[in-house]
Amino acid sequence: MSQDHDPQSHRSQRRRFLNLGLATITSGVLAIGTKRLQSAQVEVLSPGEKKATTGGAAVDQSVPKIDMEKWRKLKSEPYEFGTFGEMPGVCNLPGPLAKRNWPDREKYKGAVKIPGMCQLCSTVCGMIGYVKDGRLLKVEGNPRDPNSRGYLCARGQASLNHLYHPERLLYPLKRVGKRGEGKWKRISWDEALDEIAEKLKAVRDSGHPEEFALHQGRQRSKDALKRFLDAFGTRTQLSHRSLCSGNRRAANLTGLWESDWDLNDVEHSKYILNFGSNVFEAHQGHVPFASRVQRGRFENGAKLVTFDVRMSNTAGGSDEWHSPFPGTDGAIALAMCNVIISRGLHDEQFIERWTNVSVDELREHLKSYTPDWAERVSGVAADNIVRIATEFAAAAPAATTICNRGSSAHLNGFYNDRAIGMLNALVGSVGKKGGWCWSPWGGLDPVVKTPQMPPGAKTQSVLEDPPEYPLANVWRRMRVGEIIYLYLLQDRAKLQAYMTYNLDSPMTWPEESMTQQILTDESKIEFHICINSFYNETAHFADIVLPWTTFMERWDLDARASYNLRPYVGLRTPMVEPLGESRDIRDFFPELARRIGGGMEQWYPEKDVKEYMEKWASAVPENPQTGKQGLDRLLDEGVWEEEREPFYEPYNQTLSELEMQDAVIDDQGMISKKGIGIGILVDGTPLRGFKTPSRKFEIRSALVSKIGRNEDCSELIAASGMVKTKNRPESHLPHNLEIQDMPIWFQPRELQDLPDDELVMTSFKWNVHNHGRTMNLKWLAEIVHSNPAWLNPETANRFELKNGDWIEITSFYSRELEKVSPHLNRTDLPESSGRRVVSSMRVPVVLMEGIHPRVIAMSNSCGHTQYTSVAQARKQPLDESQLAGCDPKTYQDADWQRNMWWQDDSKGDHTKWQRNRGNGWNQNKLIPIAPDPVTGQQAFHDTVVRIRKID
Amino acid sequence: MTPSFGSGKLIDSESRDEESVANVYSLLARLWIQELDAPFLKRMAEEPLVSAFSQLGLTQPTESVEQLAIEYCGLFIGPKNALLPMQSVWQKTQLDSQSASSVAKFAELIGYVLPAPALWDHLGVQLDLMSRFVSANHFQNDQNEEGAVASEVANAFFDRHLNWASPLLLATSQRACLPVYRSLAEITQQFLAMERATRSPASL
Repeated sequence: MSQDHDPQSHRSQRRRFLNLGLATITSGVLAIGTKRLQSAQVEVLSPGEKKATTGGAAVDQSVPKIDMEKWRKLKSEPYEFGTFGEMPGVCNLPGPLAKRNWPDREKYKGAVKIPGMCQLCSTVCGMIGYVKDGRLLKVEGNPRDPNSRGYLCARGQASLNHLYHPERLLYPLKRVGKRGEGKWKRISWDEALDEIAEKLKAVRDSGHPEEFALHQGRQRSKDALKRFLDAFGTRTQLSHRSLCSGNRRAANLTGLWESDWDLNDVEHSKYILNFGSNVFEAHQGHVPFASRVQRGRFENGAKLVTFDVRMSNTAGGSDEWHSPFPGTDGAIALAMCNVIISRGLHDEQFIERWTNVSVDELREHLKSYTPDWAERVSGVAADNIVRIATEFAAAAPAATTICNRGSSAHLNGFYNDRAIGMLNALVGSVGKKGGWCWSPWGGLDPVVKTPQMPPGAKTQSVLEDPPEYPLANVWRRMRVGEIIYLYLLQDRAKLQAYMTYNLDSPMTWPEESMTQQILTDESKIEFHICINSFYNETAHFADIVLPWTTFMERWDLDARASYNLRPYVGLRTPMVEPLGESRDIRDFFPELARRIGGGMEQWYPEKDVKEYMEKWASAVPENPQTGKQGLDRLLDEGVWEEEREPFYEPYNQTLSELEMQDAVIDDQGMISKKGIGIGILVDGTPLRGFKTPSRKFEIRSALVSKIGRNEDCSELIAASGMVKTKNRPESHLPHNLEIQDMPIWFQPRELQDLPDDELVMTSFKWNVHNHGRTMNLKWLAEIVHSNPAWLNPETANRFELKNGDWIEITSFYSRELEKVSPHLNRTDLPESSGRRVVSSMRVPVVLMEGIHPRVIAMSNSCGHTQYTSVAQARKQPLDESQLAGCDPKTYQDADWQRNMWWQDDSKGDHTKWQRNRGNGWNQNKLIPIAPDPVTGQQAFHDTVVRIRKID
Repeated sequence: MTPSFGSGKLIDSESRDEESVANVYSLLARLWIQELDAPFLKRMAEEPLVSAFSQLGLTQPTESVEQLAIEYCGLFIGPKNALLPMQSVWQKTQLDSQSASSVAKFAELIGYVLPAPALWDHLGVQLDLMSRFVSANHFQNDQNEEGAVASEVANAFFDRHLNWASPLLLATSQRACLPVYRSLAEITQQFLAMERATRSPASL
């Protein structure tokens, strides 16, 4: 008889376990205090007798008695057993049987609807979560959200993957071993916060609080971060803005001052002229904006014309697509301006009244920017430039340009976007219905006010305010994120403590290898705390990792600049309890502040986050139908939009008597109060005007020229009334830059006469991903997980390539920047044919007609080395030692087999690689640090590369 | 169970058995839900536990507390490639599936409250909760209706929330580098198998 079936053996085993049980009682081992679980000692008691024997934990000490009523109810509820014998997977896809019982009307019965806001991109669409038994079953768009109007894109739908991902960080971790080695141990929140507080106290006590930096990726809790940093006393708050939209914002600010964000009223347009924006897939206003573009087209008859080097889904969905040479959008725009002025198609009254240049000045300035010239530099036919300009002007004022990173992420991007913006001024569509609009509310309705904030910190750091970039921080703090690690490498700054928050810089920053090098170096970054929901590339180089809640588990008031041109307030709510020990910064920053002390604690008087939110939302007015106001109203409706007229033609608003009280009008008609500009007299009427020094839309900007030369702009700032605008600080003094006061166009050296064997590398984003935070979500990764390089067939022929061939791409640093920004030069890097090499990478190609022949394009989002098995498209751990002794069968599960079909089994042998397998390649290995010298915007679309076929 | 006759002996020996079984559940719960710390290791190395463990083949750890914590983290927490000991992960490939809310409902039956943030369907929590149900069964055994219900609840809970763990335990025994966790997985597997054999299948 085998041991398994031997009753004697069973009895012996049972006795051994019973002995263990008795030994447990006798030893009292369970009475030892535990951090996570207190187990009661069980003694032989008479029924009903209570005895408390534990170490004081909140555990029911009484003799357990079953609640019969609850048991009867539990027995009657259905429960779906799972399958067995599987390895942990990563969120089942619904599978082929999903629609047999769809929609399942019972599934959401009894579910409670809870409002929230997505945060898988920056558009922050309103959403509704269906919660049952404390679990989120489904999300959908909130139809009350005035911006997104109930739409929720694929990213938002994948929120469930995000919340319930089995590889989420659930506990604080502390590094063991070398940084980047990947060895960790769990610690408690108390241990983590104690250690962090000790380190931060030491930084403050050193007299250099600026050596504590917080580096944010996508953040929507601005107040919480600012409160903490100002209370601590450091202004070294770093961001990714310059990698995103620095040039576009600076261009808008140059013309408007009061807003960095154009809100094109496309829903009411007749003509939409798109320079490089892929609004149907990626844009900071993505879903709200794309839905309005389509309404404008299908309900209003608007024509959509797109200029893009690549046929994006936006370009493909447009009425016309033209593919210009990279970085020439501004040239095309200037040529269009030339056509509009020279053919008398402009809005003379608007130009003369509401811009600070005359028609004659414009005619003179634009005379050399002819359509023929633009054709030579861009490749777009002059006839088309003329025709489109004419059509655009004819549709005005219900005509608008749109632009985004396609035009602005270049070394000439600041000028590209100024030229594009100027088009709207020439046709008088600025601020008009259907035209090029903006609002002064970049986010939340200002009626809601946070509880009192600490005074702003006054420290200075070159990491936060690099002196070489004149417009980076003048109107707003846009900063220059991509230089941070280089400046640390160059010892221009030092960080005693570095806190990263929802950031994945090794993945999303240019020059991936240098980013990793600095993050690993403890002499450059002494102490690194990473706050994230997942173990990403940044967490891999941290010393302490804190598990952050997802956006479905925390509080915020939030809003985007609204395309309704009215402000609103949205609510992000904890739809479910945070999983594991994940916590939000609103929850643990107060605790950390109290531990750091030194006065920080006074800025956290609220007893909990909900009390803070109640105070913050208290000004939300009562809904007369429900009687709810403040946070209660937001919890009910998810959002509140102020009733007011859209922000059309604000410059034509008459100043009230109250506003005019004690106002002074000078001989130029400028109206001011106590030396601060408030308006302009036009035909005897005091009008608001624009919030600029001239009170007009500034096509010509004295400020940018003076700021470039480090000249005092105090008078200009006062005249504008935008008193938060600042002169450059003294530390900027030796760094002057000639910035043109008018929109111009120039071409970076390396793009002039591009040799035949060189191409320009550009980047793009798919509609199912953001740059660095979505590839771990299985529902999205299945759709896009690879990023071969796009080449035009004509280009492929020149290099003797066919579809699916592999190439080696070698990228180079910018010659333009070598001249203009020598502080970026590194002499330690290799050269090739007189060019400094950034890196090389091998990728497959896919041939597309829809790409400019001098361009090679790759999508970003791919190529993770961390960030869960899904992002790495790996069923099994890479480290074989982790599989030692394992039965391979236990590493197969139905979900992987059926649905994770894209694991790449070629082991790096490209001859064995199958198309659309694997997790792609990180394009940021190839892209150099390339800040536009004016604003610091990273030029993601200007990298010159050479390619060669790999056999 | 060996039938025994006579007044009281059966009841006495059976109830001490139940009590011991409850304590084994609690002990295993403790070992699964948290790292081994110094006080616990000390008790493990002393009588009577050292012998009791040795009889079952649980290897006494010789590594430092830190080394054990690193192993525990790598096996059961992550941050990557971990064998997360949560039922949802093994049965539904995600966190916090219906099994978690089901455990929470079972917990409500006896007013069991998690003292610290944890996931309901963590194996350690399930083992701990099972120890309470076994205790309930133990204390209510002499009251017919309540005793029957307590037994029914214990069996139902076992069937629904402790029958899933075999793949986890197998994988742990194969992947663990340190002997203590390898043998913990094996012992847990044996104990649950033994329990499975003695419990009636649930019929909810």
